[in-house]
Amino acid sequence: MNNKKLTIIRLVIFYTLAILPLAIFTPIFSDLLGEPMFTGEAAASQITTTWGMIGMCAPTLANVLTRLITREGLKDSYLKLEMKNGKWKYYLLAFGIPLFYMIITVFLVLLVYCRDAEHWFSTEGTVTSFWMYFGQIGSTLVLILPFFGEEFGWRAYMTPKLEEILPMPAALVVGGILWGVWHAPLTVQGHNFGLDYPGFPFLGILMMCIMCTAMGAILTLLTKRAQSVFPAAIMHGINNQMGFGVFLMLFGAEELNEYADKLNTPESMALLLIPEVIIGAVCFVILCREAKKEKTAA
Amino acid sequence: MYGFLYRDLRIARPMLIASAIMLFYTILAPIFGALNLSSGQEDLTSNNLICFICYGMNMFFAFFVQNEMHKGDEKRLPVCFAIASPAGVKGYVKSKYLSNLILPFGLMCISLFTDLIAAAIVDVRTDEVAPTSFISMIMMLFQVIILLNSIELPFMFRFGVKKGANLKSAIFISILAAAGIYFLFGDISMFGSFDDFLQFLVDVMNGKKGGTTLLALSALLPLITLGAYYLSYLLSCKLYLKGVEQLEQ
Repeated sequence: MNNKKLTIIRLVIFYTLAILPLAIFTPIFSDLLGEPMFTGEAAASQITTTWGMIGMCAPTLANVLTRLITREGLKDSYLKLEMKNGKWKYYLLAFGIPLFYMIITVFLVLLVYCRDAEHWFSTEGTVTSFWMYFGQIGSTLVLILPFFGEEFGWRAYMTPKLEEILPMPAALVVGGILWGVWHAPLTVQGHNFGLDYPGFPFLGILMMCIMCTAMGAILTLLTKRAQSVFPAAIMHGINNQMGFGVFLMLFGAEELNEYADKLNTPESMALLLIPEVIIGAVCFVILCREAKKEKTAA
Repeated sequence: MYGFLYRDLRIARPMLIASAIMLFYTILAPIFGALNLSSGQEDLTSNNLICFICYGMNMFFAFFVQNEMHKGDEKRLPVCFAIASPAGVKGYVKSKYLSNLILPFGLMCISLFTDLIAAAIVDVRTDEVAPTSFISMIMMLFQVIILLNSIELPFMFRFGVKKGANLKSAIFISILAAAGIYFLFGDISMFGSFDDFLQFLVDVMNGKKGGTTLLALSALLPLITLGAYYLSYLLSCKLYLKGVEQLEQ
């Protein structure tokens, strides 16, 4: 069997194993809760939280199982934790990049959605929210497992395998689409965009694919430069933990919380994603240029 | 470096097997406790107590089992091998720091997953919208263990395994003694009965009590822990050879 064919088989096994748990168990849990998992009371349910965290580990399990099934071994596992030769920069960037695009996003939210709010700031609320913000960073560091669970599958296994069989731009786009579609069982349950929007659920899944392609380019760049999956896991964690709501609350005024609830729609998400997509596009170009240079040098 | 890590895990194998047996109990107890629940508040309190003890036991065990991994570190052969290996002193010290992180981290993850599953079962059985979660407590204990490790390890490398372990135990006993003295002579009227005290702890962990100070503490602790562990590693790299000289004498 030639290498390309073997890589495709590995990718198929990996993706099937990664998506199956979500596709099977999400509808079962939703049925148990009596309503879609990410709406109303079900969203606050412990079952949703538990399944969210355990489900995120499916790609890691898929990575390990695929390596075992296809007797691949642990080479190129991206598990090194090194700060030497300037690699520490990428760990810092893992904290800095989400902070940067979310601050821009918050200003977009305030300008577009909160223009009619009476107060943007309140001292007491800002102090509490400031510590909440640091708390989120801290808990991301300690509770890194679910985010590592995703990244060890997508960035440490799927993306390098896609790069073996496709040119870099196609590998990034296909990787983003596969990652976005993996979220489909959750998107159908109202994750990120709710249920009440035109084109449900296909528009939500499409949005998720765009979001994952942009985010995937940033995370792939970090993984490749650091030669480790950990910066990507940290950045993924900070991105997920620091929802726009947390940043919006940084401004402190309680009435802004009401606005945060209204951001759970595809059109508002499309606007909010602009800064992330721009940074993703820059990373996409950098990765493609580097791949081209490597190809020319070879 | 990974060879050293493998060696540490091999040496600690009996204790790791003992941890696995203990885990069998500490995983099953909260889950069975949750499965036996009815919707009464009394049941919920005793279930909280079971979880509290089990997760505490997990972290407590991690705290002491680590010392098993340093067995034989002061023998001549491993010391010479550590200095002469391609990874060098830094690689050896790094492997020790990793092995001291892996066990508490593993036990923390297992405790967290047990807690998530137990809380999900409570949610289903009692219709509680937000059942008690011990995530904050487990995370806090993990960070305290890592913080204590970052004090112990440089001492261990400089003055030997025994003195390092004694120091860690001394700090731990001091904390317990301080808590004991407070409970004997301090004002505990605010806690009322034991159930109230447990409820107070649960509220603090779930952010319902404690205010900004506790929020600030829980926010800063991970960053302090991470910084302390890294600084401790740098210090240990410098102190290791001095410790070996002392060992030779």
